[in-house]
Amino acid sequence: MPQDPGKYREMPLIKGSPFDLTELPRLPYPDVQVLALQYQTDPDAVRALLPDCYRVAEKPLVTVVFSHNYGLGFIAGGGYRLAAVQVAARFDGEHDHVEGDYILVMFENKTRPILGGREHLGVPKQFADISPVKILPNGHLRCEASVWGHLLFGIDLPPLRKQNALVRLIANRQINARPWLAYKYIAALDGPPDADYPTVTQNDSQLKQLWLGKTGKVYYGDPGREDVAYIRGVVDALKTLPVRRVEQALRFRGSAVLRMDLSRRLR
Amino acid sequence: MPIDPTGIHVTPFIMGPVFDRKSLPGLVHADTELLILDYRTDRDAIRPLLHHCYELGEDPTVSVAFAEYGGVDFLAGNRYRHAAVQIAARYEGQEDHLDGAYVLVAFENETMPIIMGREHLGIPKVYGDISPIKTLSNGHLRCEASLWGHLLFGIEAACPSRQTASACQEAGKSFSERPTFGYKFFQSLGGPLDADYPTVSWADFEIEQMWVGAKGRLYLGSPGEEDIGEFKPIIDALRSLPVREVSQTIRARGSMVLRYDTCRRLR
Repeated sequence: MPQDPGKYREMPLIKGSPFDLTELPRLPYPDVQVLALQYQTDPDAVRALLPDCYRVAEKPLVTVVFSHNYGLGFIAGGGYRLAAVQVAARFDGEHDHVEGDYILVMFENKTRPILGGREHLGVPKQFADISPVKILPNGHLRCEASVWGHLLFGIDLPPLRKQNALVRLIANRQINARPWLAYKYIAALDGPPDADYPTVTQNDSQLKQLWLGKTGKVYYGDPGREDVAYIRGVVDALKTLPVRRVEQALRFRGSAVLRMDLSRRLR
Repeated sequence: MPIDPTGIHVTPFIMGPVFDRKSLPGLVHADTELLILDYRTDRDAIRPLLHHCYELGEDPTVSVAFAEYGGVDFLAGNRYRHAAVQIAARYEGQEDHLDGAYVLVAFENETMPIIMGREHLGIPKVYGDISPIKTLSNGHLRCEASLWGHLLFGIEAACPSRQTASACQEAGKSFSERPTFGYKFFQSLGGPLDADYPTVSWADFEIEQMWVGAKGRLYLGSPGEEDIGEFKPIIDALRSLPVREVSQTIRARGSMVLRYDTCRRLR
């Protein structure tokens, strides 16, 4: 089975080559709903969780994001949900000087985007069950991530205020100005890692409806290793990021484009 | 946060190392049930699907193997199912000279073993829904793999002949001695490939009960790209391996230990 070095390939190799390496696609996410809580924490707590190549941004912000994505061409029109925890960080390398959100962990409820995210973008994705956006009787919104029936974490947002087009435009710009920062790492059992470098990924979001608030809470489960195995370590690490002040609660509906064509290694 | 080089990591890093590099474990699958159909195909049909670093095995044999694993230690005792299509192959390298089974594709219904199989072992695992072993009214056994509600493939096997304890022991030894071949392949972000080499892994089987036969059939679904997206070429590739003669059917119960300590790159 010959391999064309000009094609993007992934295992299983019998799947063939969906596109050329020189023409990496933009993946449209036509139907997106996001619920997020952003809070300020202690810079030392962030520092302890960042790979050495990154440094804590001026403002030590943690963002807990839930996103519900549907109509995705790369999974035959299907959808998936994600739950990510990211921290504001900076990369100052030899060539690149970038500020964005370093992804501590991204849980998703479908394996295909997990593999693509890990193997192409270096995003540390793992599987979890993720709830829909729940509307409580008191008007609060909630989303939760769990594994094998054990709660990992969730956010609870009191009723939010719908925003006008101008605020939406500004928020849109702010969101798109912050790329995902990650660290691609693929271990080898009998030698040095196969991949071991920082990455950056751009998303172009388009906000069609936006609601904002200034309060909310993040809450954690207490699963043991006997409940969720290695994922226990993730929850323990997230708990080390204390909530000093809630900065922003947010909900939006719109669309996005995952810019695979702009994803790259940071240098 | 420095990355501990003594550990084997699966991102996210905040999860901590999953194994100690100096004492790689055997991954216990305490409760294992297998249903396997082996058939002979055309040598020329195998050649286009086999990575060029491998040679065809002596017999052009395809194994379609379904497994249900329970008591899995790295999943907190949980279960997962597996459906693989593999072909008899030989590796003649500078140092290694081995006969084994090259995995064309392995579907599994749990994400963590998919990630670990891909990133550590170079096995081309992807997600699929996999049925339990079904017993039909005529006593035949069936297992099926599907994706998003669309049948990929299944086997139906008659395994009428219960084997003696010594035959079970021999079979366990035979399964354990036959290595699994993979090809670890990861595209990079802007540079040479992150991983591009053949791999080998072994598992220790203990067979407690076994039934064999020589009648069975393989059947394939006809999902379209609109049903299963980019996975369609996998089914097309499997369809290109005609069944010339069913050589063996096996149902077995026992346990399996995946020998991470012996998994490595082929040279």
